[in-house]
Amino acid sequence: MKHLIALAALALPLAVATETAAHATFAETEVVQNQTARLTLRVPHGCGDEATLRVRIQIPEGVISAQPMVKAGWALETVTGPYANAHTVHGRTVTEGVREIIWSGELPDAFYDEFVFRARVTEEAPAGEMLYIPVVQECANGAERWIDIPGPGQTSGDLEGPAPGVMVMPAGHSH
Amino acid sequence: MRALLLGLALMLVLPGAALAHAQLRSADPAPGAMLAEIPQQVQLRFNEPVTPLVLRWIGPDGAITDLAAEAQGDSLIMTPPAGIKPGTQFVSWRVVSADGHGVGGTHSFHIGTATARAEATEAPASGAARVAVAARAILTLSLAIALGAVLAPGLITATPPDRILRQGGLVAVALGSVAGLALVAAEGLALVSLPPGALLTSAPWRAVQATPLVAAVAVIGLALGFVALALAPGPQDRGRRLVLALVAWALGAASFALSGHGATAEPQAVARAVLVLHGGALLVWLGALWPLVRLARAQGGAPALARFGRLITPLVAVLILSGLVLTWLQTRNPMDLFGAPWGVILSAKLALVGALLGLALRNRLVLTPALAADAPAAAPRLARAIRAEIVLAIVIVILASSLRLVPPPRALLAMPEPLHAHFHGERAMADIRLSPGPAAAWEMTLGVQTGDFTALVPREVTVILAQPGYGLEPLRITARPGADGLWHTAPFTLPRPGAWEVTLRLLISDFESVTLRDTLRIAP
Repeated sequence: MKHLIALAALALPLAVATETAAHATFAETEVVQNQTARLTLRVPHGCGDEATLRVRIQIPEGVISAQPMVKAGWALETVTGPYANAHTVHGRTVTEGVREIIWSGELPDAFYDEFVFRARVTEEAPAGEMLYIPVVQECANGAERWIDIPGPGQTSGDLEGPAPGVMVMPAGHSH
Repeated sequence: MRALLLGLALMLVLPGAALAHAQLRSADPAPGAMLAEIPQQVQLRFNEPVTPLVLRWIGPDGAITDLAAEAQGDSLIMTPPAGIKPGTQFVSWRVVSADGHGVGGTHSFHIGTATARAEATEAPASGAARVAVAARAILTLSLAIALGAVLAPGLITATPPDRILRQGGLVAVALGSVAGLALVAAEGLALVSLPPGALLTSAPWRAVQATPLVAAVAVIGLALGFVALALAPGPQDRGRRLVLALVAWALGAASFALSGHGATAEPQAVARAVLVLHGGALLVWLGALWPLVRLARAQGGAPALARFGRLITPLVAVLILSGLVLTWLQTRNPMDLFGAPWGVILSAKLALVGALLGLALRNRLVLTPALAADAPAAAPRLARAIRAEIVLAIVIVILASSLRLVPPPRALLAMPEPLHAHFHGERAMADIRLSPGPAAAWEMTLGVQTGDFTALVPREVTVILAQPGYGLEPLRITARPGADGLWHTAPFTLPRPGAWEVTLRLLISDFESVTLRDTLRIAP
């Protein structure tokens, strides 16, 4: 009986791990309100067997002052726009900023890469909930879209192209 | 020890090597291809080496064959099963990719012709289905023999059944009970197309429980119970035996209306009523044959045989008339009796019925008067003729039972009505119309709006059709915008009717998609 439980304990996380392995995910698991987080997007494969030519990240409402990290071999551009709500950071009012980050280059299907940016998570992103950040991988003849956000009663595992997410911890939380 | 296991488990939670799902890159024959003949092999090429999990070939007659595949590099190569019929073929595949994630799909193409929907959706004629045919025939024959053992002496000579008839009748009851159980089991296996070992699982029983066959077998079982009471040894009032047997007869006749192709022909009320008459008449006639052989050889049986002739004539008339009505309801066109398997089986059955009627007429008009006139060797000749009738009757019942393997022409003629459905979500709504298209295909038209009825122009619309309970992998279809402002899919084929889970994926912007899901019921 003990062996059975041990086997189940081994098998369950294995199933969970393989489920998520093929999706685009963040290396980080959590971010803290009112702090600047560094987020690392992991891109495991292309579109089918096509190479990824562009990686696009949409910055959701509640996440401000996004800054992508430059990446050798990749051209970088950003799309700026207004935020839905103004935010106050260190006494300064911020009403607009980067809404989308686009890396252009080439990542063959067989290879793996990471794309890094940092951004401030405001209190508009509710603490104790997942913050989902939609990502699109564009290839020559198609795209992989990691943009599905679980609805009530759903988990990311139910979705075809789950958006990568991180857990938002309340302000003042520290490790 | 426990800590070590926990540590191991935690290590496994952390995603290791990030690997891609396998994807089908191409197939040979190509999806939807029209081939002149059966291909030597079917090749599915993936973007990486895969391990096959379940591969199934679904022929145009609905027969499901499990396939073995040979993996060659990134490809799976399958040999088509033997005995493929021309028409639309489906290959349902499920493979596991290097990351351990299962991926599946259904691939279809045509051989010779794109077949009518109903042909592709009928129950498979597997080994189990053939066992079901045999069991069904034995069940009908057993009930008839058991009934005849009581009814024939009771109605013709007004005597109780003798010991041999009683024992024969009870043997028939036992045989019929076994056949009834075998019928339900075999039908269950045929429905889920699993090997006999699966009877130890619940799947075949759950599948058959949803069919009307179970009710029909239960009613026949009840009839067998009544007739067993009527056959019980010991002193028993003749009237009591007769009443019990007549109740059993009524139940047996009613069971014919409960299941089968015949019971679902339109107008159903007429079809079912006629089936009861047909079943009732055939049970009495079939059942009377064995007691008649014994009467023909008994001393002084001539008056009883003449009496049987008078009693049975109206029943035979009912049998013929009801048979004609049923044939007409199922075919509507006499030409359907030729060519299709259903027509061939029915024609053979009708020819044998004609021969049986000829024999019966000769018995009535020639042999029975000869026996009455004490002609030499009249009794053995009559007994021989009745035995020939018995053989013919058995073959006829078997043929009638095997009609269940093939769809009647009316099922092939029926053109399904278009289906409409409204998918409602918070952010988007869709109205879909699923209409029968050319060459046994379906076409879907979609109109989409936002949740508050304003126009919505999605960038992409994907339709995913799945039948999770049946082991078929989802079909993915891309819709394209038309000049009419609606979205249209290319024609696609559905391997079987029933409840299909329809998922609509609307891509609103690069980063936003809406998923709507509902279930559509496709009539057989």
